[in-house]
Amino acid sequence: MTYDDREREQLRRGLAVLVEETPVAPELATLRATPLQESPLLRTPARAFVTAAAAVIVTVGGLALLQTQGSSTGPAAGETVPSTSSVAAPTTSEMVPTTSESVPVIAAGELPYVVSTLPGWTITFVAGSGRDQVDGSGEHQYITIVFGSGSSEAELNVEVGSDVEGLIADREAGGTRIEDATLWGRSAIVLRGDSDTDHSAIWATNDVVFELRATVDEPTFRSLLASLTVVDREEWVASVPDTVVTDRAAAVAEYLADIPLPAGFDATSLQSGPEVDKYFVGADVVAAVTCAWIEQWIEAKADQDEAGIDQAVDAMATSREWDILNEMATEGDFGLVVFEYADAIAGDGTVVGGRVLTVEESYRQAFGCP
Amino acid sequence: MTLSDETIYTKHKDDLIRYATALVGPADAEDVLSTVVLRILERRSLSELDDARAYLFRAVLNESRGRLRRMAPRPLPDQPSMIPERDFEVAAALRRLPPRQRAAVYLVYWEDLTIDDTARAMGAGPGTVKRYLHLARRRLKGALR
Repeated sequence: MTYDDREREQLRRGLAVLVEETPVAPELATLRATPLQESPLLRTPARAFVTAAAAVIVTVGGLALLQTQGSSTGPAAGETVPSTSSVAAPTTSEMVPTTSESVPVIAAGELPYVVSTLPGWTITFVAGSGRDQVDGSGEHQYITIVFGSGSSEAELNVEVGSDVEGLIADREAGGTRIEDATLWGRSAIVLRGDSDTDHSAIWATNDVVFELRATVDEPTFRSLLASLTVVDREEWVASVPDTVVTDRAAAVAEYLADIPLPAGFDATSLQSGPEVDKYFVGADVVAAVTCAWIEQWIEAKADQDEAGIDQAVDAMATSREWDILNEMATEGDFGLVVFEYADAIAGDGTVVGGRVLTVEESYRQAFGCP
Repeated sequence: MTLSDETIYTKHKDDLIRYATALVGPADAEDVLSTVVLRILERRSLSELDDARAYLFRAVLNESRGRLRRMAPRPLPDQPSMIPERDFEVAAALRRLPPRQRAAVYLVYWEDLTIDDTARAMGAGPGTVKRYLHLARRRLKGALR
């Protein structure tokens, strides 16, 4: 796992140090009485020292989960909330093809293979999932391709079936639209954030939405944008680092080799999906298996089927020995979530997610189960 | 029922100023929060936002990032005698993370948010959040030895 129990506790203690001198938040009436231009406000810091451990307990136990369902508006990452909007919101009608020149064919519902031909910029990381991260329906496949050049990075987010107009409105809430670009025979909306080196571009083809974001100057950003090229799979695979899984079916079979599977488990859907870093393929596989076992556990509980319950509990109890989870341990915390649910179904059926949650109410979101 | 701005702000203000403190430090946190809230209220009511909490978290991150770019680097504070050395080292390593990585670590490991909720709070995709966590992990490795 990325963080073992000791490291996680250490991390939380470090975070506690970061926030231990948090000032008292002013009341809204106080804020309103102070013109924006005359900030900062009178500060009233709460200097009373609390131990790091105590702060962890109070804060973690006292906070609720973000209530974030259904939001499609908000300030864009990397951009402050402007006081006024400088341009009218564009619509997808502005993204129609602008020329009759040869343009890449991007099939609806498919994630294309994209490289940058700008000298010095190479793919350094690929994240993504063939599974819907929200409800497991598989309708929102996404991929994030990170391009790097020296210390500069750009990320291309590609998502199937997302709301492009909502994305644009979201980004425009915190940025300034500048001159559009033409890419792949289509117009791309280009925005500048709150600095001269904060740029993003959004475009769409069929139901595939693209967003390029980079902290580079505008000429470099436009060069990078123009350099994005859709290539065939073979060329793309040759362009990615070794950490990217390029034979997904073989990888899935390998990962499942030491994992107990519930009766009728079908791995077929796992064999298709974007070529991404091993961590993400492993997460897809383990999530699918975990969903299936938890669902068996829930059904068995409802049916008072003790054998079915025991089978699910015993299977998930082996999760700490699954090779793929142990390999993933150096890259991320997914294993911890699996272990937490394995322990929960073996125990009182609850997990802690800002508050105590039952397995039944939380597992779908935790693992993207359908 | 439509909640008032006062109710919405009061509900979230403590979490927001703690988040701002994690990002810019205690000396600037209040100013970040006040700037964000006043700017939003200049344009709309908090009750008009589909998800005011996520919006405010995102705005705090954005404002914090802008300030960190503009402000001169500040020296790390001296270690108070009552804070264990190891905790202080980890905190120092966290302060050295780029803001978005620090935000992701804070939201996941302090607020206990899921990846999806963290993504919404940061205005990023789930894959991007995982990447921030991955990169942060690499940078924190030494401090968490």
